[in-house]
Amino acid sequence: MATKKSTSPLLQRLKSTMPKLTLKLLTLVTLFLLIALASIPLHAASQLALSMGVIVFVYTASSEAIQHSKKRELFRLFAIIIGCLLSLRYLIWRGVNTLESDDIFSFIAMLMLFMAEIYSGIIHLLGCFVNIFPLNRPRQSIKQFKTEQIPTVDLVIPSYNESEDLLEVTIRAAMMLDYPTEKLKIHLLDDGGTDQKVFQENAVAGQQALTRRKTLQALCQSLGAEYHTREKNEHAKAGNINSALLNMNGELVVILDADHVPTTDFLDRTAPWMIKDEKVFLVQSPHFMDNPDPIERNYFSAFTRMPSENDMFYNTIQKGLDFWSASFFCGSAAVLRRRHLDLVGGIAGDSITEDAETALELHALGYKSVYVEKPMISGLATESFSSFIQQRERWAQGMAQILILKKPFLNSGLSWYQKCGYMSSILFWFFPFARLVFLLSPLGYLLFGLELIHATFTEILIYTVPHIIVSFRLSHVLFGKNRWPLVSELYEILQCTFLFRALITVIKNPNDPSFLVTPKGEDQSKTYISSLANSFYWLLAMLFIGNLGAIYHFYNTPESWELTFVVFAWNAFNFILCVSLLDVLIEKKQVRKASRLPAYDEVQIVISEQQTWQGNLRNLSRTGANLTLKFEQALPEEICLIGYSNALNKRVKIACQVMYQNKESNEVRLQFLTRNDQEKNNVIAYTLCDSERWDSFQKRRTRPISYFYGLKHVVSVSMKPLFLHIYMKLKQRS
Amino acid sequence: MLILKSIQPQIKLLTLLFIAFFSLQTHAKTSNEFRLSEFYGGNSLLRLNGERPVQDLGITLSPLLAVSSATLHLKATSSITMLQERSTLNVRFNNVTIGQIALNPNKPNLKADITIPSELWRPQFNTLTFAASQYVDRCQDTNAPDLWSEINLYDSYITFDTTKVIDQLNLQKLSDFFNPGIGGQHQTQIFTLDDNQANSVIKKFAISTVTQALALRTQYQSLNIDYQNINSNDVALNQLGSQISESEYRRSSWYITGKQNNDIHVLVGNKTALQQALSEKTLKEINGPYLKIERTPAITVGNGELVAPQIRLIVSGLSEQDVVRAATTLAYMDDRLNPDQAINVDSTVNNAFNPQQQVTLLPGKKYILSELGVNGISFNGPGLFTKKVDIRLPADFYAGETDTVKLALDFSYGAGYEDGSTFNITVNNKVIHGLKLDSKDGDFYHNYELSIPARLFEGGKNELAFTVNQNSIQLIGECRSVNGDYLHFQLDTDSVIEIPTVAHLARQPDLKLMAQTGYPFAQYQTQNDTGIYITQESMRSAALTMAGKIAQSSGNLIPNLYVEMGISETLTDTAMVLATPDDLTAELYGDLTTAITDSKRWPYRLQNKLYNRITAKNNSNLQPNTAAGFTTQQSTLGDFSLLLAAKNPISTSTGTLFIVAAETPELLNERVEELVQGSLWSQLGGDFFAWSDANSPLIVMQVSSAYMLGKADSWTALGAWGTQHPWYLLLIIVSVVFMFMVLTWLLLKLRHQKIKEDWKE
Repeated sequence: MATKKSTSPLLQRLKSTMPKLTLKLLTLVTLFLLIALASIPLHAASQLALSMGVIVFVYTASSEAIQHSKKRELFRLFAIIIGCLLSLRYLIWRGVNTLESDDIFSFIAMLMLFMAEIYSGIIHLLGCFVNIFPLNRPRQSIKQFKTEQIPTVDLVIPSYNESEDLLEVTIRAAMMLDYPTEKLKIHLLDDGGTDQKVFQENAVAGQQALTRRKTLQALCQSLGAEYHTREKNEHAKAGNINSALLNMNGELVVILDADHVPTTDFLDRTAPWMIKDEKVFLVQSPHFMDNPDPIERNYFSAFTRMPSENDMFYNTIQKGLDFWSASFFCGSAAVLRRRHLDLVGGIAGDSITEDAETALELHALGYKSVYVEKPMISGLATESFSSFIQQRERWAQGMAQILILKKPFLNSGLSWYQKCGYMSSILFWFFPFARLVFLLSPLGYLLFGLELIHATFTEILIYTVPHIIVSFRLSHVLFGKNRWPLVSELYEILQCTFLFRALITVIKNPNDPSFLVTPKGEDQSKTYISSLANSFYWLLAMLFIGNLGAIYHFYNTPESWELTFVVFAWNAFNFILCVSLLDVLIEKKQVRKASRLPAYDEVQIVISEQQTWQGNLRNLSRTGANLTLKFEQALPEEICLIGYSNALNKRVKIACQVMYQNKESNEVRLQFLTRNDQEKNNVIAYTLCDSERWDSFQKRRTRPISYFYGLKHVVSVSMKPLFLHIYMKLKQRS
Repeated sequence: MLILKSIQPQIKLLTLLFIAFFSLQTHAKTSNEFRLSEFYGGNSLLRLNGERPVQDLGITLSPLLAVSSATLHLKATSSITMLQERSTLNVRFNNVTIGQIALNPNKPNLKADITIPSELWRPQFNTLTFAASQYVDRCQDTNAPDLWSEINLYDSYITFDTTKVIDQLNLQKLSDFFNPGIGGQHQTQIFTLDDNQANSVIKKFAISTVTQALALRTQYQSLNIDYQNINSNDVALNQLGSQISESEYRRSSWYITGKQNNDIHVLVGNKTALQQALSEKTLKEINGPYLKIERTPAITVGNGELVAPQIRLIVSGLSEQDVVRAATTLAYMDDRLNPDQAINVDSTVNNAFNPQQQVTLLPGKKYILSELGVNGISFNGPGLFTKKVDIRLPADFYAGETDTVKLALDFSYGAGYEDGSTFNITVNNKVIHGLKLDSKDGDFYHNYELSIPARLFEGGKNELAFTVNQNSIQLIGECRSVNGDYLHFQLDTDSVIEIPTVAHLARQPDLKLMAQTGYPFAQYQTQNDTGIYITQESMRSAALTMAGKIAQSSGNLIPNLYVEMGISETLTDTAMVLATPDDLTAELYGDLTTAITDSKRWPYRLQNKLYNRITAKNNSNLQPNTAAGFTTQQSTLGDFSLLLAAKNPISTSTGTLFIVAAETPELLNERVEELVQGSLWSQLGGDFFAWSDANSPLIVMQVSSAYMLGKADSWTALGAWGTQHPWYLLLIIVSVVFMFMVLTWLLLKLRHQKIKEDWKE
């Protein structure tokens, strides 16, 4: 269908009548005309009329775009362009008319706020550009190729300190991949059992490393995987992979993090893109997390109902980047072409985000990347807030390193749109600077009387407010399904203070940061206050004092109440966000070992050869299930669950232990028994290796909500976490 | 008889002396009656609130007038709660008490006739003061609401008996003749001799300049011009016989048939043209541009006075160009520096590129208040005090949204200010800043900076007002009051106002702007020719009257403003046409919804959404409505006259065309005389103005499409256009966005197609 559409008569005629260069030139001229129109100075009433008009157009066009209109692509494009024009107009007005002060401190504050707004504006415009035409690729299968066309694959699982159980699941899942067995080799790259670790000075730790090495060697041997380790732990993950690559000769390399369990169709859906186009160096797929991150768990408590934080990136941004041939390697769940990797000396290691850096280098050489949207990897999100911050610090520092060391904007190998794509991805991580300015700027006025913006209340109403309204609307159009209102703000506030410090260290010395493995599978057996809470207390205290300053301003300078009101509203909004975020810093107790996701499969519960009950799953985890079952007599302690496994394309039997049964409510809770290889494989195949399961789950939770609903949620959390923190702190002391 | 004969020489001598004495002082006794409301901005009531209210009325007299007797007829009302024994209304004239009226609670409506001693009258400026002492209780709150009285200014009036006294006639007196006060001359005659060309230099330029020069002297009062060209051949000197010599006759104002009225008239022409009207001596004096004021003798034949003695101003020169230069000098010259009767002008140099730049504050410059004519601002005692400062800006002052006028004020106030004491600053009656004067020990502010949005200032006159409310301590208890005389506020005249650099654009057509500033005839940046076109020679007087009024509105001479007979194919960009409907062609109304040719085209209000009656006070909310519907009909203008303004359809560049039309030339002259009077001129607004008397307009509307006029960089001009037409701008933006979207979509689709082609490979 897509191919038919692409050869539409209109495009064919256009191609024949108008050279592409003319079209580009015309577009460029129109763009300049638009920029010129955006900078026309207008008086207040006319600007108000213009802003209102643009808002009406943006809302009308975007509503059509969202509601599956036939011309939704055009409506979407129109809304984005006219909305961006208003934002551009706002930034021009800010730059030309609002930076004026006789007081040097006010001027500095003014400039900082303006820079933060410019940054946000650039990120917004780049975001609109990147996501203007998300690419939807068709399903491809390895089945369409002859055996000799199918490339050999080395699947590598780099490991550092992950447990044997975790690795076993990943290796078993990899072994079940739907790919010719003779063309697939599984490799465990153990950096926890290197010679350096084994022979370290600390004898106990050395013994542990040796034990780990032997255990994992045995595991690999039993499962048919190859065990690799090396002499020294050099260059972290990149060094581990590069070292192992020397002993491999597959045409393709699949990299999976230790906790990333692949679905059986992973290679079936990704490898074809490599076969079709020799210039493709990367096929990346999403990272699907089957447990909530600490913010989702502690704050939203809506993991199964709201889009996850990384859904926006994997469901929208990577598709947008893919259109511009700028989707990049995310460290795992990706297929790389060995020949291309060798051209750049393997996985790059100048930065601590080796993945993006490698992709950048290969893009610069003219090779292509492909992004397959289907979630085919399930991994574990960080459990604690501190490990979440540690992971984000690495990402932010790594991206900053790429910016400083690799300077993608100057890389002549990249096309202009690839540069835009990379700059969008990299610059995003500088949000702590802007976010801190947005958080602290109101205090400049409320506490020190600094002038933040040289404009009247009316001007703010007619320039700033429409810009904010249109920006929110465009965000909703671009990411509405995958990112709920205010979620970005909450995540950014949570990270900004920590990432700010991390970024400063990179700016001071770009080579300084070192790779730290993100802790996963941490113990969350009790509720406690995160060790990172102190900086939030300080922030809250400042914002609270700022609110007091507003009251002082209202009383002392009533003539400027309008300005005070605006800044107070801004500060109060920040304060409410920060207070509610205290909820995140209370690490909630996690009872279950594995997170349970909703499931609706029809299953049979076999008690004996004569007795079988029909039921439906309610939720499912890698360790057990909860189901609705109409049963007439008490279930025995051990039963057998029979369900259809899409991964294996057959019905599988799973032995289970009944943990709970209730005839009245028809609820049964089961724990899977994994006493032998077959049982283990069946459980893994049934629970983790079905991409349709992840796909439907993800689709279930990706839905837009209104801005007011998002705001309502934030306000509803309100002051409760503050009192909870006080209570827990007092309890700790006593 | 002998005795009689013997005393005849003495009688002759006495007679001569008597004549000589009275010829030095020309007397003409007249009686006048003026309502007090004429001296108080047209307001009919003067309220006196509080314990000791004082209000002044300025009464301006022409310096040529001597008041022989004057009576004030006062009508007032006071509160019925007044204490009779203590409450009085004192009337002062030039600070001398001329009457004391008891405020009787039993007779709250009072009438009084108060004689104003003639010796108290000063030349030119006089002050009538009403000072009340109002008590309702022995111990009272000075702000008690029943402490009031009010003077009905409309029903109160002054009657004068005045005499015009002109001694030592010289050019210094010129301003006195045209003084805007009582007794000033508000109409004059201008004569040329034997100038029969329709558009001679004298008729086209010189007379227009002379008119402007005289109108500038009348300041805000109208000046009606009666122009006549006299053919000297028509004068039948031979009829006089030998009773008087020809030279004596020519010295007189023989071209005036009326009686002596002590008004000055003007004779304009070059030396050659004026030979028939000037003495040999005067003719000899003319060596170049020449100005002279002189008294012309009476010509008597027998017992009859053939020619009355007159006072005339001669504007002449060797050539027509000299006459124009003399007229220009007349416009620029300061009469007080000319004690002679006649001057020959060697040269006139005006260094300003444009005269308008000499009467307005210059954008981009700083001024201290004393440069704006503010001598000092200090307020003493309790009460509300206001000092208004006129800020005259270029008519096409076009401020951007973020342009600011900066004030840096130095002010101080003394100790003892109590709650409620405030210092407010307003611009055109909008409060832009307020400050509580709440320091008990007083305070001093240096360089107190304020940034005022420049858009609050309009092109033309603006009013910056400093208002201080001074409250003294309120003591509670019987008869415990403080009079508060110690309160003292001072604003230093070194305080600075800085005008931002702005674009020069004005929304047109706008009759209000024209009435207030003379724009677009007088422009700040350019000095292009501007013509007032007449279709019949008899309309020249009306055209000159208009020229004078426009110059008066602009505050300076408009050098390139001329009056031309006939409507050429192309008019000056800014032009005014005076015509009857029959004289006008349809070309002047190409796209307009109004036309006053033989078929009238009226944009009747109910055919349009134009219920926009425009007031002279405020049309800032005026929307650029454009009339769409109209009715074309065969009819006359009847008694009324019409002033229209619209984009000039027959000019080379963008400009505004003003059309003044009446059914006949006579009616046109009459209506123009009414139009230039303050009562009507101040109500000009919109672009469609009809009137039939001097009191109020028949209709004021905005019917034409608005457009911007002036010079600005193209960006600002585009912004100004966008400001006027935001919906059009939005439409353009949407169109360009649409175009960009289509182009972008095509490019995206091409790229998408290419990507998909890669899949197939």
